[in-house]
Amino acid sequence: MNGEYSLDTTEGMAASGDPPTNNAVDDYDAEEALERQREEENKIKIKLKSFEGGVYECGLTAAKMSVMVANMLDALQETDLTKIATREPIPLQNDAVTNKALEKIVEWVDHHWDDPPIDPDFDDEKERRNEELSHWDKQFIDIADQGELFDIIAAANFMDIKGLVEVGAKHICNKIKGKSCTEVREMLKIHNDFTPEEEAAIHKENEWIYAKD
Amino acid sequence: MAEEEDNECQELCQKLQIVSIDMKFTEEEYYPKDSFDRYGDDLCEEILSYLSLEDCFRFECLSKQWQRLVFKSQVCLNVDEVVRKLIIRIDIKSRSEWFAKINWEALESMGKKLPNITSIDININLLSSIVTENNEILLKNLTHFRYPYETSDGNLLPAFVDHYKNSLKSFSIVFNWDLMSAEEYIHVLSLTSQMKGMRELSVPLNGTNVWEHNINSHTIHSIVHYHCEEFVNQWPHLKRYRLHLLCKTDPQVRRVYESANRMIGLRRLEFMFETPLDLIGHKVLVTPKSLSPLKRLTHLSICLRNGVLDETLLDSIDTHYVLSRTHTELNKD
Repeated sequence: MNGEYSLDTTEGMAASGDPPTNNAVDDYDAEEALERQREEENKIKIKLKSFEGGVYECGLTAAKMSVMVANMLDALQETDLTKIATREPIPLQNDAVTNKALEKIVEWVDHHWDDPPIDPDFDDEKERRNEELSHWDKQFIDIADQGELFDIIAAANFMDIKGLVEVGAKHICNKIKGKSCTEVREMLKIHNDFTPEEEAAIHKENEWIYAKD
Repeated sequence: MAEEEDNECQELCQKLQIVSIDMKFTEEEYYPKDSFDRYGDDLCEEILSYLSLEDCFRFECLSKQWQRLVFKSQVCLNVDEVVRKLIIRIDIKSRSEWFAKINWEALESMGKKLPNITSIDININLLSSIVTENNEILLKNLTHFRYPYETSDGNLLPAFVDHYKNSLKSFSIVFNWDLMSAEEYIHVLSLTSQMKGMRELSVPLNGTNVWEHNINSHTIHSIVHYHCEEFVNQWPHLKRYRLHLLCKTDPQVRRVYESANRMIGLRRLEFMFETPLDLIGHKVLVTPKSLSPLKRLTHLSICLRNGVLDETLLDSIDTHYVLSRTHTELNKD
């Protein structure tokens, strides 16, 4: 039964490529209908299986925030969605998807599944990048065990959950902001593979940046 | 037969699993779970893309992986960040003003390290540093550029326009009317119209009390005339157009407004008319009908300083087919 899940990315995701309609009223109705559908679908629970074998339940709409899971589900071509609930759990074959990581990921998608979709008319990538994390996300991602934190980011990246990778990335960048290289190397356990000469050369190139106004 | 295949498949799966477990062990030897080094280049680049430019420069020397990736996804230069370090401020104490000068070496090093910069938003004149004296272009991949024009840029602009004629998408050029002649204004805009890749053009005015500078009627007339007769034919490729213009009389406002209907590719049109005080209370009659050739228009904004727009404009928008779904913003100041 397990073999039916595949990672074929050529199928599915066609919905997002539909041509936009220009009539504002239609748009509004269509959006509302879509929202109701997402709400109904999220009542259907599916099971996800971690690399360590732990099984976690998750709403269907929430689970589909993972592009990988969404593609796998699309590949099943199941018209009766309720049947998905009774299927074998979806295996997530990457060692970063530990029990702990998957538990957190399910918590995140369950909280974010009803986020409004990005409006292509006002999609300002620059603005979105600079936006601060929400209070909930900050508490969610503030994880003391760095191995676990890195697992979650790697797992989210593997499962292709863009929003969660962004939360992790912003968290790390916030933590190292303004710190010295030595501090950051120590914190993120980065091995310095430069020779002292190479490092000095880079310092010299960037000297102007440390100059006082 | 089918069973055999099944068995083979299972065996293979088991082998594969063993292999993957082995790899895990060897990898863990080199990259512990809590080390950032465990991440491949793709994920590493994605994470580092959220760093500020200043942090990028400081962390370049962390490791070879960071050096390779840290600048890759930086696409935008912001005034508040590193750019201000590019400017050497020379204060003149006796007069309460300062001159800005560009730190050339720094900009050159930046141009080399940040190959993907596509957007610069800065309030000082940067053209003289993007184009060197030998007409060499230092930042080659810009798609968005906004800056205040200075008369001394006349010789540098051709090289800039030539390099960017197909690739610059959005350009905003700020003019100071009291410091330049109408001929120069027209020359600069005609020259920049050669950048056929451009989809968005903004022409803002510098300064707030423009009427205090006593700009002569002849200059205004020439510029208005240029916008109505030549400009609208020079820029058929624009999708967004924002113009801030001085107009002495209401026929001038009307002429500029109506002439825009020749730029049929426009999606957004924003006008800001600076009219003199003696037009206060004066009704300026502009109708959406004159813009009806602009079939793709979705945003229209008209702002009139000191004048009043005729209310029938609002009434007629509801009944007029083309503009009925147009987002209209009218400033009846």
